[in-house]
Formats: sequence, structure tokens, C-alpha cells
Amino acid sequence: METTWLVALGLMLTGWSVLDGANLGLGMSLRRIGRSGPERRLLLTALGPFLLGGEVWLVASAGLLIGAFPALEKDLLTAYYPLIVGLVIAWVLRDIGVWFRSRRPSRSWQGGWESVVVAASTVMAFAWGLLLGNIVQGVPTTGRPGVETLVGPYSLLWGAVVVAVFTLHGAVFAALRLPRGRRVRAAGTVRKAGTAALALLAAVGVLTPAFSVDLARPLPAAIMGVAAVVAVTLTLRLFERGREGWACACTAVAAAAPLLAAGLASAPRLRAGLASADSLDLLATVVFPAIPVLIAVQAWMWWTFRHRVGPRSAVFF
Amino acid sequence: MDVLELSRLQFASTAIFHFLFVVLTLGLAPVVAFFQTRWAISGKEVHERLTRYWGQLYVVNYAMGIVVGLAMEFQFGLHWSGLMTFAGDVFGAPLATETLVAFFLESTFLGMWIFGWHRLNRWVHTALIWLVVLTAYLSAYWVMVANGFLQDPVGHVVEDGVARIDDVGALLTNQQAIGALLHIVPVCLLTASVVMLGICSWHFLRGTPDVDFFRRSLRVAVVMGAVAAVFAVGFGFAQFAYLTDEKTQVIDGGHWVSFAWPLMEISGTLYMMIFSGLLFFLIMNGFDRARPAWLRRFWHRFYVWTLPWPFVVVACGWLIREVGRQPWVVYGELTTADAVSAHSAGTVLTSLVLFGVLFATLAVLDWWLIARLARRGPHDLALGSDGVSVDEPELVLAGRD
Ligand code: HDD
Ligand code: HEM
Ligand code: HEM
Repeated sequence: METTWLVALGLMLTGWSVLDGANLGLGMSLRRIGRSGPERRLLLTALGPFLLGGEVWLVASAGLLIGAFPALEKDLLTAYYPLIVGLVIAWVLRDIGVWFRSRRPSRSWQGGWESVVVAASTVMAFAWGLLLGNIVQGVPTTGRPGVETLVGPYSLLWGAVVVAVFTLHGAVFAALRLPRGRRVRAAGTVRKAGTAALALLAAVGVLTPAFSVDLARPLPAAIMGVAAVVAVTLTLRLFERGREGWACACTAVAAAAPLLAAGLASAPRLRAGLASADSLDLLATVVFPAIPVLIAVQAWMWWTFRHRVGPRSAVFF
Repeated sequence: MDVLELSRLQFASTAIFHFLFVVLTLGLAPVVAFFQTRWAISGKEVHERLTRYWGQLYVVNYAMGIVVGLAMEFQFGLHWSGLMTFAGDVFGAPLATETLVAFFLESTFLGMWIFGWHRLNRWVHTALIWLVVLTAYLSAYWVMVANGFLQDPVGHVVEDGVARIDDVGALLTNQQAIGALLHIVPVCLLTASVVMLGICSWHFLRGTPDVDFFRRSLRVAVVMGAVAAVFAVGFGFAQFAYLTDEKTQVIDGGHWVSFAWPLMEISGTLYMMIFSGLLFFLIMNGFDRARPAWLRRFWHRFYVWTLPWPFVVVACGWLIREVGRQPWVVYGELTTADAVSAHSAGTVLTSLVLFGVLFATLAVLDWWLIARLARRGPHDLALGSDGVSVDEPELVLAGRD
């Protein structure tokens, strides 16, 4: 039963990494892939239908954390207070940037919010990586870890990894959603982000033993690391051949890998934060029947908006 | 100020900011759904414009509701770890349920609604906005179950200093949750009516060419406001049946939030009178004939200038409810002082300033954008457009380039 709850939480967070990871990655490259104002609006139109449906996975994860893991939520939010505050502020700014950018015709208004989207998406992804890097090093039961851990070199490395894989994922997603003629715009970003991701993943592989980080369960984490490397390599190949759909499936694996690695490596610690049995039983009657419905509704959404943006697309952001 | 006061201030300001947007979201959503249903049936252009015009105000307001809601969700873990330890097992369940079965669906449906124009079948598209309404009210219910537990902790037992659920039914039918919700729902509808009334009046004052459009909007606002005001006042007084002694004392005067009570009581009564008067004129079809022009202008100006008032009253109501619960977080069981996390005051002050400045700035911008869209009238609508507009004539959308 305990494992089931961890799997549910893992599912929610994986959903977020894959779906909002693409939104964040696209946001980070908004000004690089989109060269002009109208082109950036095209990118935001491509992102549009998926913004709410993507971020809601993290909202749901936080809800599940409060309901099923109240003690863990308390420990995490106490220990990583500055990271969480930074993450939430970046999240707020990313959303607002996307919503506000096209509400006025003024160039400086639009350019300003585009920069906000780029910066906030990057900070949010980076803060998420920092958080994972910290969790891997052990969640304290009381108080906060020192600055040397919170933003130490090893944690910073995780931040960089997440930024790189999300950028890659977002660029491939953009290529998949943009009209055919414009997809090439994303190619440069895909190549650079892919190379950076490979280098950074290799660095984590080398430095985890070098920093003698004590993983509770190193093997599954290592497997996820290898899976990420394979996925990124395949992505670069597939993208070259114009197989964006398959490339995006590969980047989805890469986007989820850091979370899964951190989660699997620290599973015993996370499980210690579960709620009492009666609360869980009650929650189970709601959560487990709900999950298939949530997935079905999301699948309907992806199906509805599976086409590239075209003349019939509604424009709002 | 110490950590306790700073944490309370942060929670209070975040919650009030959140509710200022949510109250309009909840109130406008059914109006938009109503207009869209009429459009789906009649296929008339004016119904489409009504849907898109009020829909875009709704959607831009929604954006801020979401982002402040995000900050709300993390408040408990960030600052109230004692509450999570003591009552996390009980009130975490309704909050989790809310995010999973209400917010999750609401957000997904809303995204599909905003981007589903021209793509989805009109009945499916109409059904989507009704689903958004349904899930929005469902989330309000679940939040109020969590909040009601803090006001009157029912349905639980305390073992080893930790509360556990032992009667789900009592938790879900807590009168502090149901009673408050019955007051909140008409309050939301009333707020939306006042906002619509103000916007329509502004356009009448300017001699709008879209008289038919704003007359239709006004009719809906007046009928909805008249009904909502009666229920808001009725269910407001009904809450006296179970107010705690502390809150009765706050209402009787002498406490620093006592000022909030007369504001709420007087405003409720006035809104009831104003809307029933308007309803009378509406039924007599006497908006124009019965009153001289100067009187009409006076009332139009009045509606425009008092448009923000319900938001002030809403904040007052929450101050009574939440400050009136002090010094308890969970009434009679856990004090605020025992619930607060052990951060340094500097840490909490920093995040308070960061969030405060951020939300204040964004809220002002959001209201300004809403006002801009409202003033532009039912032309060149942003929602459901294909992107080619007066604002951005140069937009090259896919396929058109
Ligand atoms: C436009 C907004 C508005 C208006 C006109 C009124 N209220 Fe209200 N009131 C609210 C908006 C509100 C609210 C913000 O929505 C509250 C806060 C918490 C809640 O449940 O609703 C609230 C709370 C609230 C409470 C506190 C409940 C508690 O502490 O548990 C009482 C006793 C009343 N109201 C009573 C009234 C009465 C008798 C009214 C009319 C004569 C009235 N309200 C008009
Ligand atoms: C959106 C609607 C809400 C508003 C406007 C609101 C308002 C407030 C206010 C004004 C305070 C400060 C009280 C003080 O300074 O003494 C407060 C505190 C608090 N509220 Fe609410 N509240 C809302 C919803 C909720 C809900 C749904 C919950 C619980 C699930 C909740 C839990 C708390 C807690 C834990 C505190 C801090 C402890 C305290 O000072 O009492 N609030 N809220
Ligand atoms: C303290 C408790 C609260 C928390 C933790 C909270 C959290 C949130 C979150 C995370 C969102 C964004 C969800 C999304 O992405 O769609 C949201 C939006 C929303 N909340 Fe709250 N909220 C609280 C209080 C309230 C109250 C008291 C009400 C109503 C009575 C309410 C009604 C809504 C509604 C209808 C939305 C949809 C967005 C909008 O209306 O702007 N919430 N809330």
C-alpha cells in the first residue's frame, strides 16, 4: 500500500516533468526560436492549449503531498524554504508572462513579458533541479541544510541538468507544434541543448561517487541516468531525420529521468512521511478512481490539439 | 513583528488576494456559460459576442486567481508546520481531493475551452464551460470543508497529539463549511452582477453604439443580482445560528476587526434594495422613461464608481471569519502560536515582501488589463479570435504566411 502512494505521487510528478517540462523548455527558448514578435506569438499559440493542462500536474502533486504525505510536505517545505519560494515566484511570473504578453500591442510591453517568460521558465526549471539535487543528498528531519548543500556545486549541477533536458524537450516540442515550414528554427537549440545535456548527465554520473553522495538506492538511479543518456542520443538522431514525434517521445523520457532518479534513490526516506492508515484509506477512495479519469480527460485534450498550429488555431496567449 | 505575526500576515494577504479574483471567477463563470448556451441554441451573432466579451474578462481575471492560488497551496507547508503535524491527516484529505478532482479537471477543461474555438463542436464547447463552472464550485466546496474544519473541528479524534478522521460524514456536512458556502455562492454572483452593472453603465455614459449588447448584459446582471442579494443577506444572517462566542463579540464591537461588520451588513442591505429597485424598473420596462436624464446619469456614475466596493466587503467578511477564530488555528484544539513553523523572522519577512510586492504589482496590472478590455467594448475581441486584430495587424499565423 505504501508503495502505491509513492507511485501515485511519482506519476503526478512525472506527468508534470513531461508536460510542463515542454512548456518550460519552450518558454526558455521563446526568444531564441522565435526571431520576431509574430513568430513568438506563434510559439505561444503552439504552447497555449497545454499550459493549464501541464502545470496542473504540479498543483495536483502538491495537493497529494499535503493529503497523503503531510509529514513529508512539512519536512520538504521547511528544509527547502528558499528554493520553494523561488520556485513559486518563478512559476507565477512564467504564467503571468504568458497570459499578459499579448494583451497589449506595444512592442516594449511584449518584449518585456517575453523576457520575463524566458527568465522565469529558466529559474523555475533550475529551482526544480536544485530541489531534486538536494533531495538526493537526504532530506533533513528538522531544520534546513547548510548553504553549501542547498546551493552547493552538486545541487547546482542538478539544476543545470534539468535546465538542459527541459530546453531540449521544449525545442523538440516546438518543432512538433510549429507549422512545417518553420520547424527548422528549433534545430539549433535542439543540437546545443542535446550536447549540453549529454555532458551534464555524464558529469552527474562521475561526480555522484566523487562527492561521495550517499544514495539510499544507487542502482535504479544509475539506470535512470543511463536511460536519459540513451534517450538524448536517440533524440539527436531522430530529429536529424525529421522524426519529431519519436524524438519528442525520447525527450519525454529524458525530462522525466532526473525526477525518477531522485525519487527512486530516496524512496525509503520519502515513504517515511506518509499519513496515517485511516486517512489514506479515505483518500484512496477518491484518488485511485480519479486518476484514470484525469488521464482520460488529458488524453482527450492532447488528441483535440494534436495538429500543428494552423489557420484554424484559436489565438489567445 | 515576530514570526507568528509575519506568517499570519503573509497567509492573510495571500488568501485575500486569492479570493478577490476567485470571487469574480465564480460569479462570472455561470454568466458566460449562460450566454454561450443561448448562442449554441440561437446561433445569433449577438450571443456569440456576449459570450466572448464577458468570457475574455473572466479569463483574464482567472489568470491571477490561479497564480495566487499556487502561492496559497504552499503556505501551509511553508509556515504552518504545526498545523500539518496536528491536523494534516484530517484537513489534508479535502485539500488533496480538491486539487485532484476539482482543480485538475477545471484547469484542463478551461484550457480546452479557451483554445477550442473553431475546433470543437459547439455543443461540446458549451458543455466544456459548464464543466468548468461545475468543477469551480466543487473546488470551492472542498476548500470550505478544509476551512470549516478549522472553524469547528468535527469528525475527528486526537491520538498522541495527532488528529485522525473518524467520521467522514460529519466532516463533509460540517455546518461551518456548508453554511459559509451558502453565503459565499450568492456573494460571488452578486459581485459579478455589480461588476457587470458598472461596466454596462460606463458604456451607457459614453453613449455606446452597442446599446442592444449592453441592454442584454444589464438584464442578466439585474436579475442575477436581485436574486443573489436576497440569498447573500439571508444566508449571511443564517450564520449567526452557529457563530462562536468570540466571533459574536467581534461583531458586537470593541475588537480591531469589528469595523468590518457594519460595512458588510449595510452593504448587503443596500445591494438588496438597489437590485430590487432595478428589477422593478426592468419589469416595468422603465429604465429610460421613468427617470429624467440627469438622474440616469447620476446612477450610472454611481454604479461605475462603486464597482470595486463588493471586493472590499468580501475582504471584510473574511477578516471577521479568520481573525475572529484567533487565537486558534483549529478552534479549541490548536493555537496559532503552536502551529507556526520555526523560521527566523527575517526569512518570513523576506518572502512576505517578495510575495506582497509581486502580487500587488500583478494584481494592479491585471485589473488594468481587464478595465482596458472592458472599455474596448464588444469589438476586436481577444477570446476566440484567430489572432488578426487591430492590435496586431502584422501577425503572420501559420498557413497565412
Ligand atoms: C459582497 C460581499 C458580502 C456581502 C454583501 C455580505 N457578506 Fe457576509 N461574508 C462575505 C461577503 C459578504 C464573505 C467574504 O464571502 C464571507 C467571508 C467568509 C464567508 O463564509 O463569507 C462573509 C462572512 C460572513 C460572516 C462570518 C461567518 C463566520 O465567521 O463563520 C457573517 C456572520 C456574515 N458574513 C453575515 C453577513 C450578513 C448578515 C450580510 C448582509 C446583511 C452579509 N454578510 C453581507
Ligand atoms: C480564500 C479565502 C480565505 C481568506 C480570504 C482567508 C483569510 C485569512 C485571514 C484574514 C487570516 C489572518 C488571520 C489573522 O491575522 O489573525 C487567515 C489566516 C489563516 N487562514 Fe484563512 N482565509 C481563507 C481561506 C482559508 C482556508 C480555506 C483555510 C484552510 C484550509 C485557511 C486557513 C488559515 C490559516 C491556517 C491561517 C493562519 C493562522 C491564523 O492566523 O489564524 N484559510 N486567513
Ligand atoms: C487556503 C486554501 C486555498 C488553497 C490552498 C487554494 C489553492 C488554489 C490553487 C492552487 C489554485 C490554482 C489551481 C489551478 O491551477 O487551476 C486555485 C484556484 C482557485 N481557487 Fe483557491 N485556494 C484556496 C482557497 C480558496 C477558496 C476559499 C475558494 C472559494 C471559496 C477557492 C476557489 C478557487 C477557484 C474557483 C479557483 C479557480 C481559479 C480562479 O477562480 O481564479 N480557493 N486555488
